[in-house]
Amino acid sequence: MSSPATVPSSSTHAFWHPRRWGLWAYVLLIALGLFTFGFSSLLVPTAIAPGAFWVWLVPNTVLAVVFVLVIRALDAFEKEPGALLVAAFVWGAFAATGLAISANDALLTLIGKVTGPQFVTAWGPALVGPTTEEWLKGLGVIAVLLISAKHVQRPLDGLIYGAMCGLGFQVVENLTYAFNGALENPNSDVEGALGVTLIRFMIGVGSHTLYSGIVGLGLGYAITQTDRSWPPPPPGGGRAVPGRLGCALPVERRGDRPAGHAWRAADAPPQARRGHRVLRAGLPVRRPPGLPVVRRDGPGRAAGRHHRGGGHRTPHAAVTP
Amino acid sequence: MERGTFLPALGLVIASVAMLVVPVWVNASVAAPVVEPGHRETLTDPYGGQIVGELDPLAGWQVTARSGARSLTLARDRATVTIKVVSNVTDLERWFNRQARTILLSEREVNVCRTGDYVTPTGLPGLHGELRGSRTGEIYLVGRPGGTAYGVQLSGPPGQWEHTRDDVRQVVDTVEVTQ
Repeated sequence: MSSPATVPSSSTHAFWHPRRWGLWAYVLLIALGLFTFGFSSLLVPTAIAPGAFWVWLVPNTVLAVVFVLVIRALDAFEKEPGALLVAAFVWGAFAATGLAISANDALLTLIGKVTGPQFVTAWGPALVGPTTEEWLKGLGVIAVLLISAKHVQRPLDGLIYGAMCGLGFQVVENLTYAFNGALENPNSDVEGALGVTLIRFMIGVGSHTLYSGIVGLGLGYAITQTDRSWPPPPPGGGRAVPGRLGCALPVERRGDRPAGHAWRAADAPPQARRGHRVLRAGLPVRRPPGLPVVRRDGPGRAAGRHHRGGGHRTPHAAVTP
Repeated sequence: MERGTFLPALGLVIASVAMLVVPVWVNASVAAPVVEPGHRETLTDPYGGQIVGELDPLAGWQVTARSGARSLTLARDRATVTIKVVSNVTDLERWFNRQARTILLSEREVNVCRTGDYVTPTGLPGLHGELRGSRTGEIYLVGRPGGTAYGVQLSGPPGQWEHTRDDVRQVVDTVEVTQ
């Protein structure tokens, strides 16, 4: 199903924007993750313990296929571009895992130093995992936004990209657990890998997908919401105040923009850009389909402020349908 | 390049690389706890095996890493001692070969050679081996087949660990298998 405002979802054009620095930052960080992680944690163990690799491959392929189908079915109205979904998956699989592995080790050791062995055994993973892994998987959603933000039109889109980051992370993390189980087992690779894989499938089979989906939902909301009622404007007004994450710029109609085109900070007038640090940094903001366009009637911003407490609502001020 | 895309991309790189650098830096800046005289350490395997080690001979070494409750790494200068517990060892020799493979994976220029059998004063059977290569050292794997076993590995650059050989052997001999 499509609507006039629906962004075309197919083609690799959704990913390949070589004139955007975000793409190259993404490529750089994937390469860094592979460098820090890929050889020592993936390729060499695969060569040394191939049994563990096969024990991992079969169930995790099924897991990935099932979850991808579920994730893609979440949005009945618009299918996200496959290239961007793959990009999110690859980020979770290689960049997030590769960058998290040394951070996890360091933080677990740090907690052990500070609190002692009992505490770190009981609480270390619960404290370290969210600190490092959720941060890095969340950055995957931001990486996708920097590559092609126009495909994040609603919070649900953020959830989908976040879930794909989490799924990539989950699948590759399962591989590292399978390898560790195989190498730690004193008797057999298959026995060790199978035991760990079964445990991971019994408890938290979709945990990373879920957690990162929630993070992506929040980021998607922050990017797409248009309620600029918080923080309140300073007394006297006259200066634009950033909304949540600075993403709620007053959106002004530009005659040369096609419907559904991404709106950027650079599109806003200079007085609206002042104070919008995040937006000045270039995070794109898209006018959701159907949202009336605010016309700035005066030097203050009160005329352009939307309904308090609502997301995509009709503003008080003059609007053009 | 598109105007305005550089700074957010730079922010993404910084936020990502920070996770690679900051935790390691913070961890390195906090001193590791030191083994005190009379220190006893309990290690537990997820599958139920448990040992209690008397670390008194290694007093003054720093506890630099733990892998859950299963293993413990001590360090002094550039020498390290790792103690780990494992359950359900069916064949010590097979475990030795698998352990040698794991060491080869983490330290590619180190080979492990089995040098003979080892029996603790309490009668627990075990195997002894040597690490050869860029790091040298010794490894002991001790335990009854089918039960809980433990391994103790001493390694470091040549010339930096040999003087602690007797201390480590004393630790090996005094470990109690409690489960």
